[in-house]
Amino acid sequence: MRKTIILLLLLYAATTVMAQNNNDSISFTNITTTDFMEAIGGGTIQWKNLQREQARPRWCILGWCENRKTGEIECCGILDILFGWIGGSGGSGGNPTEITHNTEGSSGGGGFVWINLFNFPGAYGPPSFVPPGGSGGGGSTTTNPNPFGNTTVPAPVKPVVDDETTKEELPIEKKDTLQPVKVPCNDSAIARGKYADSLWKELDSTGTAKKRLQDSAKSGKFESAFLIKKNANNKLEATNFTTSNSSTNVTPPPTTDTLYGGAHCHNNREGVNSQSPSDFFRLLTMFKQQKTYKADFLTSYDDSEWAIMIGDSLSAMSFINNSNYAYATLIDTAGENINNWSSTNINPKTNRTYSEDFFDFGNKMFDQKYPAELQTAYANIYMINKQFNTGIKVLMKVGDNFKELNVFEDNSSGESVLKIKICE
Amino acid sequence: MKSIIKLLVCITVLITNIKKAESQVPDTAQYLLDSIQPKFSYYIGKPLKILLDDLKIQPIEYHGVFPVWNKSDTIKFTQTLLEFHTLDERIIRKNNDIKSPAIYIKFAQPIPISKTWFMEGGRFEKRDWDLQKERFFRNYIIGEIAIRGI
Repeated sequence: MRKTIILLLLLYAATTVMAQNNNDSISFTNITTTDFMEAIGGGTIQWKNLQREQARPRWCILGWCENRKTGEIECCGILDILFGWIGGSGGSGGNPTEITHNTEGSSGGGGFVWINLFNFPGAYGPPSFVPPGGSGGGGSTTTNPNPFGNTTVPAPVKPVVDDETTKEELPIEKKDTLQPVKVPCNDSAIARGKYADSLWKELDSTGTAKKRLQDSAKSGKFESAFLIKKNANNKLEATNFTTSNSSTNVTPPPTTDTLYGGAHCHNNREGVNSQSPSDFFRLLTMFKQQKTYKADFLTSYDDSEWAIMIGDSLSAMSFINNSNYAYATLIDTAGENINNWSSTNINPKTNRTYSEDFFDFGNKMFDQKYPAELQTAYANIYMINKQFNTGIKVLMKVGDNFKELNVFEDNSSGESVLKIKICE
Repeated sequence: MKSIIKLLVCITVLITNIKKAESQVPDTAQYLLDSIQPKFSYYIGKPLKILLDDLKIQPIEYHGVFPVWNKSDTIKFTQTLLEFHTLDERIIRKNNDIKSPAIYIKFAQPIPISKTWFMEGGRFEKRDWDLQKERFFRNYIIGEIAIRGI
């Protein structure tokens, strides 16, 4: 009888470990019904896409322990508990900050700490008041960018950079960041670049609007903008220069002139050094009214210059006329997120807000080590070219010329890799 | 005979335990719809920990702040998504028209967080929903809650 009990206990322990580790084993129970049905609905079952669910076991013989090194909650062993208690005093204490919320410091110097018995989810004992600086033995008062002072921050890993990557020309280039890959572009893309170059350069000879726009970007309180028309000498010139009196987009007064484009600036109060999502819609709106209005320029406070152009008129018109893509649906027109991808309306394709989709692409760029300052621009390119087919092309000024940017998705490795390419 | 009984008991225990382990891996989307969504009104006005304690599945990522570089020194953190798939998984699923469930949380009050926490080496630099983030956010009150991506 004793042997049987021991055997049962051993079996119980063994299967407990199995239960604990079931996240690590591939099991058909991990493929969800929804995943399966969705995969079928999509036409092809992508087995690699059927995700294992992240579940945690609800029970464990000796209770749950927090691994102080990893922060993971693990099923306790008897040694974890004994050594956790013996070695668990002290702690890093966390870092005091000027922010007075419920900051908690790390709880010990190493090993494990026993949390509780049989009650994993979130039950870390009764809530207790923890002053800023944490509960450990003596928080530091020095300024430490890493709130967990003991944690070693690994040096950034130098990303693999394509041999073709531009080394000198790109406006924002930092060490350890990934740059767009230079590629030969088709005639249309080259023609758009030349059109933007000639239009933008011609304005230099017909007035000071560009200079005023640059000044406004550097020191202005709000946005400035102008429209581009042809004068009596058939030369392009700026007209209706306007400075906004609020933080919303500036709109030059309407004109009966034939317009060839427009320009506006972003200053550092807004903090955006590339186009806002609403800027794409302004171009589309103007293009709808006048088919000659094909380019919109942006001067930014960091000296970067951008152009957005109608690259595919049919796609642009199709996008404009699709009621699902109305401006007020895709863009926030009020609130903190004004002029950005909607933080309230849901994209039916993903059942997430448009801004949440945008965040995913931006974060993906971040993961791939693209410069932080260009993540917004690149994520916007993804949104207008991949998420939607707006017919708009984005050009970045490199040296003296506007170069068209495109985003490509490479799934050949089984992972989704976003590549930014720029015309040579 | 005794040995056979012992063996049967052992096999029964083994099967019971394995079944128990399997039952802990639910269909995420269906689980959220069946078990969490009906309690939305209960969660509103309560600390996030009430929801987290109820969840039988572990969020693995959360939506932080993007982009960080152009934000002020103190960020007013108002809303987040608790994700059950990684970003890479979500993008691949999106490309294959497979939706990825998530829980949207809007906090009752903006939470001031230093921008540096979201930057390189900062406490919230990574999107992983880990113990530190759980501890940080668990006492903040839920203002709105919704299921996304289903």
